Amino acid sequence: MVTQADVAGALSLDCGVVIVGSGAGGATVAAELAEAGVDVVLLEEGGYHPTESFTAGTGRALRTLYRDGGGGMAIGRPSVLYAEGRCVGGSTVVNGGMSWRTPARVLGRWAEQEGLRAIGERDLDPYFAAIESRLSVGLQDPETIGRDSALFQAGAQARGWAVVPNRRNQLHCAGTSNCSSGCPTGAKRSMLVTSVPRALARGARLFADCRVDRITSSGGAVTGVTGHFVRPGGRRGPGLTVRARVVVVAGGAIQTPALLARSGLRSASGRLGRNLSVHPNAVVTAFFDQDVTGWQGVHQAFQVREFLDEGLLLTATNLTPPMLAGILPAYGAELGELMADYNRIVTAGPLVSDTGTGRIRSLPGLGPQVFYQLTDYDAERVARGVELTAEALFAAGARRVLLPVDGAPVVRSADELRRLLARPVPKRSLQLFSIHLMGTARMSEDPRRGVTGSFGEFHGVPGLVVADASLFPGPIGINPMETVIALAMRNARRLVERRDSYGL
Amino acid sequence: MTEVPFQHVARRFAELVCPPEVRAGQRADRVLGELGLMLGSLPPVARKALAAALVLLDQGARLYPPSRGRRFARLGDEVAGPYVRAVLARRGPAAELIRRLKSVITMCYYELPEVQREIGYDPAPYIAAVSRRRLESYGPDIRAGEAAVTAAPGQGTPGQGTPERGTP
Repeated sequence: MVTQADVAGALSLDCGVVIVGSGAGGATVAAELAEAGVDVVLLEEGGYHPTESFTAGTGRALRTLYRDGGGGMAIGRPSVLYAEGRCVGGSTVVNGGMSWRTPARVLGRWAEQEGLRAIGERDLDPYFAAIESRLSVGLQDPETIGRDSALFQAGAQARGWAVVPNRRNQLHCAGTSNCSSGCPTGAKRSMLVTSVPRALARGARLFADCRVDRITSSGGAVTGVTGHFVRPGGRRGPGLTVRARVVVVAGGAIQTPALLARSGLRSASGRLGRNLSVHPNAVVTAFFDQDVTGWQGVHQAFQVREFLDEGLLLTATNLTPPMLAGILPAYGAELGELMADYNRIVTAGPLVSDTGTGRIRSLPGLGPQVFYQLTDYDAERVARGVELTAEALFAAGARRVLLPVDGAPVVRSADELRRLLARPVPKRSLQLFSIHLMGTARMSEDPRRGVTGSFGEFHGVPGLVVADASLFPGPIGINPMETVIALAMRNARRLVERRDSYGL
Repeated sequence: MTEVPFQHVARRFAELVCPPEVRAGQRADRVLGELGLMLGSLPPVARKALAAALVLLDQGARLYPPSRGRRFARLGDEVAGPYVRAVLARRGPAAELIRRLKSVITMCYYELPEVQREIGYDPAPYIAAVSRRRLESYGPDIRAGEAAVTAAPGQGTPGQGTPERGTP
């Protein structure tokens, strides 16, 4: 591995395949191709941060592991805060590790609407099985379940709702509740500790702190990338040129379309950078009489799946003190009083499979900007998800809850909740965030509808492949990591099968 | 670390939006230190937006009748407190920006280790304890799984059988 600290002057490289991004998609493709003997260069804009460097410091994590300090904002009414990982291993280093197969109904819809090939449940099952073995996907050891998760589970079950234990990529997770700041034990099988070292062991070359500026092309086919190393403080370092026969772009649903667009690569569909789904999330904060110490125990032990048909997934997720303080609708002494009860708080909320879409636009001097408009229908479902979440928390014994709605009063009972939410909730007053960004280079066999084909190949540009959640034709309604990895593995193997046609 | 723009305004805002204990010892200085680190990780456009929020906050106070034309940084608590309350309750992009600034500053306050200990959050000993428990309980399985990451294809299957492990 090479980082900016190792580089004094400009570098120029040749390889078979250059991969931009080392997250779920990029690292998977790198491991698959390197295993097949392909000469791979893997480029990552973020830094290399090993497991031993991870602590519970939220600020440190935001500064080192996330793009823009984790403070992205999709512009709209309401705005939606979002976070993207930016480090070796990408968002898999900071996500919760939820590992679920793509629902069959979603795959069916994608195949039907976009004419996608080899994307049925049976087609993908072998990839899911391989991933689950390689990343140790399984259920939590019982001693790691925290009280916040147990309370939320109890509340949901008291309401008679279906609750499932979460499947996570973890090798005997210790339950440190530190997922979003990097797993300090290495138990979370992120790309940092699985596919990246696997690829390197098979000869792939990794360059960290390396931002790709453009994809280069000649005669309509890609020829490589150009970029530069990033010095501490964001200063521009030496340049990098990589000549390759195939370019795989795996920068995530915001950076991938932005890179393609600034490289002058256009989609005949006009859909590049459009069709963004965000799975809007909201947080309900509940106060209990007894100590909960939600930071002791695994991040998200359960999911409430009772309302999946409505596109709603409910779960409890502990927030660190800085994260919680940042979203509470209070300040000064009142904030201090709320936070004094930190150990009696459970935070939980809905994830909504959205029907609205957004787009990525690169604005001069500002870089990629995200625009997203929540639909009225989705806003109603967010409000319903908030109500259901709060109901479960009251059923579990919560004494009061704070809702993610600007100006909402403290709610002290389920009856009060129902009365309050019987009135329409103004869409713009919802406080939303997202960690699932999808769909901006969607797959479709029809080049007039989609940016990429069934196997991630960019329509009309030989040698250019996309390998991240940009590919999704629409939201999947559950955690997307395993889907990203499965598609990346499948598409990488397709590349290997056809390596002669690419000269690999 | 990036220097916090309009430090005196940022400090005054921190004194009002953080819990009153921010005025104890060197906490306000350390909140500004955290803020500087945070700003350093933001893109230039976001840094400029937060700087603009501080200017808006400071100069906007001149239009707040009880301030009698004074800037926010020069207001006493009895006027600055209601002014901040009024600003945070407003709608519109400027108020949104100032609310975002409030979020960032309160995040910085709760990043301070002594503040975290005061509310009962002290994760380091807990992380050390459960990490030890993990190794003591599952050491051989963990070592086998980690070794399998770089094993040749077909050799070693990290996590084989894990779907059946743990809570059903």
